[in-house]
Amino acid sequence: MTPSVRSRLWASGFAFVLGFAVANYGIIRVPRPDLWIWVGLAVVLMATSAAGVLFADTPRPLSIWSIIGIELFAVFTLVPLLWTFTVATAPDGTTPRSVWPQGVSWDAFDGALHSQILQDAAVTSIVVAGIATAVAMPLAIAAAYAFVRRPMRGRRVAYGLVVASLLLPVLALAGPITDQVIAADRFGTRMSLVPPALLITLPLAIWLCVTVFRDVPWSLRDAVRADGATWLQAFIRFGLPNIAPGVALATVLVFVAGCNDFVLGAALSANDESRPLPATLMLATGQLETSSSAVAAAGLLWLAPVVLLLLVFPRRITQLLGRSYR
Amino acid sequence: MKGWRWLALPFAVLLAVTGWPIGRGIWLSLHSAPLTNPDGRTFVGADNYTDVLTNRGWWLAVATTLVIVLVVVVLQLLIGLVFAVALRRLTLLWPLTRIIVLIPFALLAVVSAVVWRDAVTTGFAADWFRLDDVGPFGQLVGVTVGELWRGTGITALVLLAGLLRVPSSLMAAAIADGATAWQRSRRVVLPAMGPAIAVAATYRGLDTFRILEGPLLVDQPGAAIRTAPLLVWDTTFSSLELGLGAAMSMVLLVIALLMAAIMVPLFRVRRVV
Amino acid sequence: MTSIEVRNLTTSGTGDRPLLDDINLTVPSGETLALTGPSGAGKSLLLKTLIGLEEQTSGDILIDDVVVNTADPRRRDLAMVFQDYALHPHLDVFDNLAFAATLRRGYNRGELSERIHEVAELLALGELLDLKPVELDDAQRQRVALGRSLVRDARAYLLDAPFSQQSERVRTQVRSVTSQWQQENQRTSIFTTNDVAEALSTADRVAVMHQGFIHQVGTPRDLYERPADMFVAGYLGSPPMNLVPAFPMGRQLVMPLATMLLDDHLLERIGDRGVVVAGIRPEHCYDATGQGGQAVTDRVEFTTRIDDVEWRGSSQFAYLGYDIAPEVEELLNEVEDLLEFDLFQSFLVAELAAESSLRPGMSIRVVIPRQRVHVFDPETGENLTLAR
Repeated sequence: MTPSVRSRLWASGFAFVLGFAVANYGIIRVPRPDLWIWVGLAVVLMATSAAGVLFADTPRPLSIWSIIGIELFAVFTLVPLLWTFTVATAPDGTTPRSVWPQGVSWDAFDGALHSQILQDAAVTSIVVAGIATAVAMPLAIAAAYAFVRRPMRGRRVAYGLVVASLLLPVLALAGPITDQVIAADRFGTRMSLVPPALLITLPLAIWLCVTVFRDVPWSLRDAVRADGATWLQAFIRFGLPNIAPGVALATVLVFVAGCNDFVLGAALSANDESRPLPATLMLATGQLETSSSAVAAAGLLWLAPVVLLLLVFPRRITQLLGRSYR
Repeated sequence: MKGWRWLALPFAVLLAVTGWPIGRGIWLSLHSAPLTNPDGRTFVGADNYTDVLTNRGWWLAVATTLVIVLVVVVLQLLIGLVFAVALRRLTLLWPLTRIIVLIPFALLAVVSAVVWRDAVTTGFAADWFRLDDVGPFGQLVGVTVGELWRGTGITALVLLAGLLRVPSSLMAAAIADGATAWQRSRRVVLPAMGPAIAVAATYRGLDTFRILEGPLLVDQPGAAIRTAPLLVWDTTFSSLELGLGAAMSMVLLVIALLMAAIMVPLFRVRRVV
Repeated sequence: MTSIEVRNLTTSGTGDRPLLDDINLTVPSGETLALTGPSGAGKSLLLKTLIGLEEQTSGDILIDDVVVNTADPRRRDLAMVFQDYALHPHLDVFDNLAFAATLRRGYNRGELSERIHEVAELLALGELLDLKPVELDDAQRQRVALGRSLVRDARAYLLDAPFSQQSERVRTQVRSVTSQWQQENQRTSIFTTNDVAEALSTADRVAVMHQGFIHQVGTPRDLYERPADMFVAGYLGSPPMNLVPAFPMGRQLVMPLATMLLDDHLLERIGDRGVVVAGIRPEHCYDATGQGGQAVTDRVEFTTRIDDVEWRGSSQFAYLGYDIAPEVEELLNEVEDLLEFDLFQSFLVAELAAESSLRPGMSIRVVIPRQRVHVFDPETGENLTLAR
């Protein structure tokens, strides 16, 4: 579908005005080096505007509005990420003032990697989330199978409960849980974090598994059984190719969500030994002068595996998260 | 009814991990219970609730939280919709973009809160817009913008999925029927992506409602503006008044429930199981 | 060489009416049975119950005279083609064709490959063996699904609407390939179809199913010429049989356009019924002036005005309108509601020879052989013309 000439010219005009405003504001009020970011954005917008005028009357399926949107999207998402990087790499004793890094020092990353406290915290997070995920997934698979394949009375209500516990403010339960853990004399142990972590992992796991299962071609399973497959053959030749990838991905996402929980970890952590990473980072913000740099560095390092995951399964992840609303 | 055989165990566990704390919370909220001294508990009936419900600070905090939720959700939906519409046309850089969209959401909320606080106090935002000493309120705005930034990508993704569900044949038919661009978006696109918008709004709304990291980070003793989750946290883990905190928690739960009760029918959230 | 037998098979549903209603069927070894009926009749459910994917509430299924009620699909060893094709999305056409055959031990790789190529050639899939199902169109997918079961060596074959997506020209070819293959290998098979002509032309015997109930089973000729009840009569044939309300008066049966003399047998069968339904096939109406018409001796005849004409090349349809009293129409509507099927029209369709030039508004004299008129009980639908 080719946009109309009129729509393209309007888009060009919009891009021009926006670029002009950005350029002026940048030149007048923004100090170097960020000035160049502003000017760069202005140049791109003006170039878009020019392109819009040039292509206005061509049959190319090119939408100038979309290009402007994508440019703004890039700025909106990337500038804060760059800022996070700048904060993380700020040399010791300096406070970064511009988005563009003015001096890059990897000390904070080095410090984060070699900090005993952060290592302990990461291990705590991974162990707790790992166990909670390992417990949640089989349960979630059974529940999702029931929801998708076994029609029964009351399943809407049951599913409503799952969604409710998924969206529930976990914070509201942090106090009672802490009290319970103290009463059971388990306060300050890693394992005491596991049952509360199920509060995060189990509803999310069920929710994602239901999404995965709904996209499974179940009629194929009937066909495989009709073909006379044994239980094992059905699992290997139907289950593995059709269900396993989605479930594996859901597992990883649940694990990541479990790792990233702050509230319960912070509420239940009595000492460095049992404090998960997010809570540790929060605590660190109150302690050190150069803390921002350390926190940002640790955050970026923590992000790395997730980005790796996104690189490996980009399509599946966007599908799973995007489609899960159905 | 066979399905319940499969559901029984998962639901037993789910109810145990949610129902038990809720039950204990209700029980605690009827007591005066200092966290440090489990033996010093006394039954006080509904006193804690009276304290919470008549406390001006609490209602101010609730109002603040709701305003934050409203602003963040509306902005996220608008920006997300714009991005979704723009990204739909993207073909060349899509694999890369798909990753970029999700990175903010994968960043720890604590980290995002820290860098955004720094941005408005000493960093780029202060520099660009000549902010000097934004104060506690400014910092709260800063971390809220951080939360907005963190959730916009995923919102755009959900909306994009909804947008892609509009069949191209339907669009073609609408064009053939002579619908204008405005009519097409109102009468073809919007109804088709209604479920996506509803789910994005509900989930982002309740997610923003429970956010604690940012407010906790920028909280200062005696701050005038605080959020409800922050008050709950403060009462339970700083003042160590477990009973009062539990009462606040229960009120918080009820508010979340009310939000869901309003949003679900309002947006006609339908998730066909 | 396998026979399939079904005794009193019932599956209750959530509503009042059972999904499968006391079904009795016998398919002798080597026979092809067509299950036909409107959509929602329960044809697919019956096949899925036969193969063991769905469980019946009561009744028995026998394969080779052995009750297999509790046997799982693997032990029943039947092959099935699914209505939605059920192809593995991650396998190419060749592997999809091979899939079912490789599930059991003792297959020979070379033989299997040879057989797959042979079947693929027959079904015009030879060029497509390396493609994935997403790259095929619906007709091709359906042929792969069909091929998949032909490659496999099963005791009997259940085909759920196996030709529905094929275009008119290809369909004949695919159909004949399938039935030839079955005849050569002496295979028992049951297939479902919405297409009445397909059921009549392809199967040894046809079962007409509606609302979970089998109305009649018989050879195609038997069903067509001696329908057991009004539904079978109205369902088979294209255009379907004309069903008109008729009133017995003494020895005469008064129909909207014509009056027929009743013989002793019919008179006795009709008894004291106040109203019956008369059924006349369109192709049994003749133009009185034409050759066919003059040859009819024992005849019912009437003159009326033509409302509309459809010329079809090989024949033409004349639409002859008539009026019915409101209370009779109400009765007919009740029957239709009960059957959930449109049986009655307010016109009679006559299929006439193509050469005479007919125009709307013309008056025409129609003759019908008296033996060709069926009489049905409007409430039970029973065909009164048949000897009890």
